[in-house]
Amino acid sequence: MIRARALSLLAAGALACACMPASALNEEEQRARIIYQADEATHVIDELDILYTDPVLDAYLQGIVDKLFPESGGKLVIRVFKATSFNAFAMSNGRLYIHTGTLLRLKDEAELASVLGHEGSHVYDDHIYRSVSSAKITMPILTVLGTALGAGALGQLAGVSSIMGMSRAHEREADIHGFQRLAKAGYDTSGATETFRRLLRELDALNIKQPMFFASHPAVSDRIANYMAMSKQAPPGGSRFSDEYLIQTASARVAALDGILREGNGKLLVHLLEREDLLTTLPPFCRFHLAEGFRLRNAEGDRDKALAAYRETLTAAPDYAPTYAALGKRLMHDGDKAGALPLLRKYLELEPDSVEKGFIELYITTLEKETAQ
Amino acid sequence: MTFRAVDALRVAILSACLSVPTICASKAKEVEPVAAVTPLRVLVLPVDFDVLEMSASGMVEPVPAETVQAEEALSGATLRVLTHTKQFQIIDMPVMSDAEREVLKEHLALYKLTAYNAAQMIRLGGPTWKAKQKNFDYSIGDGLKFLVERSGADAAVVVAGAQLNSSGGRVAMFILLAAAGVAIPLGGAQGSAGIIDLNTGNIQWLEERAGTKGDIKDKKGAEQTMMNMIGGYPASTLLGIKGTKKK
Amino acid sequence: MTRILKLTAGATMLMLVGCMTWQPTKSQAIANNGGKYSIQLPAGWNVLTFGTQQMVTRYGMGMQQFVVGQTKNKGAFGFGKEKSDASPEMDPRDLCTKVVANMKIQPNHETLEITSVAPALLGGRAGFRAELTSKRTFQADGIRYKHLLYGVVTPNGLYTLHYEAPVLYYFDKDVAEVERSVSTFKLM
Repeated sequence: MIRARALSLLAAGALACACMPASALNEEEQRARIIYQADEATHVIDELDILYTDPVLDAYLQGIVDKLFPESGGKLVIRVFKATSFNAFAMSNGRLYIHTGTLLRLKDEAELASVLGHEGSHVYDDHIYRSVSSAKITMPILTVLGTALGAGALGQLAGVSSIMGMSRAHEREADIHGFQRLAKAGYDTSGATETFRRLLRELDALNIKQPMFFASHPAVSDRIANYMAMSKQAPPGGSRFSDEYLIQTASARVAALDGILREGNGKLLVHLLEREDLLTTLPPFCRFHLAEGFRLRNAEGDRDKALAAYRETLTAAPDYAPTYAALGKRLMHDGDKAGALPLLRKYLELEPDSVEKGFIELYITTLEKETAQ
Repeated sequence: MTFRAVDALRVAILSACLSVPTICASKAKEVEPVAAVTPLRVLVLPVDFDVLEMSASGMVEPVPAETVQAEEALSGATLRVLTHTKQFQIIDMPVMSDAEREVLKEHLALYKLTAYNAAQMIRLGGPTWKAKQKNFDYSIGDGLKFLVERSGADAAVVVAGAQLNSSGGRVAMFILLAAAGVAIPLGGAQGSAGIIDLNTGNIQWLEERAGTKGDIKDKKGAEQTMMNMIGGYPASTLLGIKGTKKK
Repeated sequence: MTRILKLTAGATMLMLVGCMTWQPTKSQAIANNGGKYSIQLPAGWNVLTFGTQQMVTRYGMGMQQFVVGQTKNKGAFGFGKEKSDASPEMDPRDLCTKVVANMKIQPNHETLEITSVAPALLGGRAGFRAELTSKRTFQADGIRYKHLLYGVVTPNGLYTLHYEAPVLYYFDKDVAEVERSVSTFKLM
């Protein structure tokens, strides 16, 4: 009885699959639906407080996109997501999104252009429509945007964007066409290789098996090899514009760093700021983030490293308030009450409306009582 | 237009296993409209209705052209049915500034969330939620009072919903799996009509129905659907208010 | 906190198919023996109890809710390989940061921001009281929300009391009632 039922279910399933067309819609209708969903998603993204709003930065990034795709005539529009992970994606309606986390990890305009060239090529090579029409990906429900924020499950934007990655063939095509645009726009093409090398180091350091950026991408090491091969064929030289890049993206990069700190990811902070030496590309007060990274990571020797980094930040950025709170709390827990008290007072002097004012005031009151005794 | 995909999911689940008082199957009671002593002066806000399609794999996507058709048909039907009841005087929407439009937008979003929750809890929450029928205390606050001053209306009528159609593939799958004793949801429709007191923000009347009457994209189907929804005002299956018959 | 997500999803499903029964809140404090706490919930609301968690609402859990509960200290924060434990020795300010980081993983809470955090006694132990804001991302209606969050860690586990409601009309309407309920929270 059970066997017969199982067989009938299998038969029903097989027959159903044979009867189902990949899509009953013609090309025009299918394209209209994809664009409609993409426009809805764009509207949703614009409505919520998940974009990093900086018109000057947007204009700078748009200039790079227009340089890479001069024929686009405004079709490709770039915006920045407030998200700490290394990700960028394109929507079928020409919207490009890049995370603040990506801007943090890149060191110059050439590296940025390699990412934007790749994503823009997905739009220009019609990959999203081609993927849907060949039923390589299905159209999922357009709901939660947790994907783009770097935390939740992937897939909600998959039917109208490149967020989950395209097929390997499409990804390779976007790598090639993006690279060609990079070279044509006069950028140093080694930027692409360095970007992926840095990503690979991060994946290894944090023991991440499947990075978000490349859900079904060719393996990162394969892409490094491909970019190296293409670089050999490309003309030498090219511009990097690192100073310009660091100036224009400074606030967004710090915002990403603040986000990683809020997430409590000490390992990542130490990796990016110390091992990848991003600290030299950031304002002096970001040494505080390194100190916090040591504190959160709490590996052997980190307590001393954190203390040293706090003190270095006080010297390098004496008006940066969070250092006083962090160092004051650290000394308080270490039993150095006399040392902690002036630091905590200084913090409230610099940040009288701090979110954690209640806690700092409690610590001050407690320390005053204890040091008076 | 908002994409209410989760509503579509819930409609799909409801249509599969709901044993609610047969909202879908019941005919609208033929209630003669009773003229109110003073018709309620109302603004009729744009209908927000999504037509969605569920593919064989269960994925849902909006159908833009049909959504526009449905909203246009339902908007016209709402005005005609409200007039037919003789209980309402329809007031033109006043001109609003951008800031006021943003205020209205958030209040409407809250209305839809509130109406949906109220319907879900009363229908599915069990006996302890039935008490809400007699003590219906849902509101969106008095932030829309400016519309009273601007238009002279007392209340606003809001119609919203979604219809989930199955693709040909899914219907084929349904038939085949049904033969093997496996049920999958095919789709359905869910809609609500509410009246908001603009002075207080209180939702003073609400009806929620699953299923539509005919094809809502055409005039006849939309009108039958709206007659079923609001034609019997103040009757409401959700609030447990019975209609009165003219002698 | 991903447990809360699973509980919410589970409750939603069971409620939708009519398989779950809400109960009216009682006028006296009720003990949750599994969670080793007691609390007098707001009067006139309805409650769903899942083990050590209680989900209380006046209007419907899709829009307004007060969730009270206890989770084990082991693996209380993060998910997968990044899990970490809660500990009674934790600084309450750091505890707040970790609890909020957990909450941000849940649908509709990705935009959560702390607007204030202060020390608070919860059940007689040093914890925190935080106020937060967010915007709903689910279905992108962008409705503004306010949150009130209390948390404390004891050897028995991590206790959180979280109230959220739309800024328009609902949050201020019942926050005093929620604070009264919080003041009755006792650890057993």
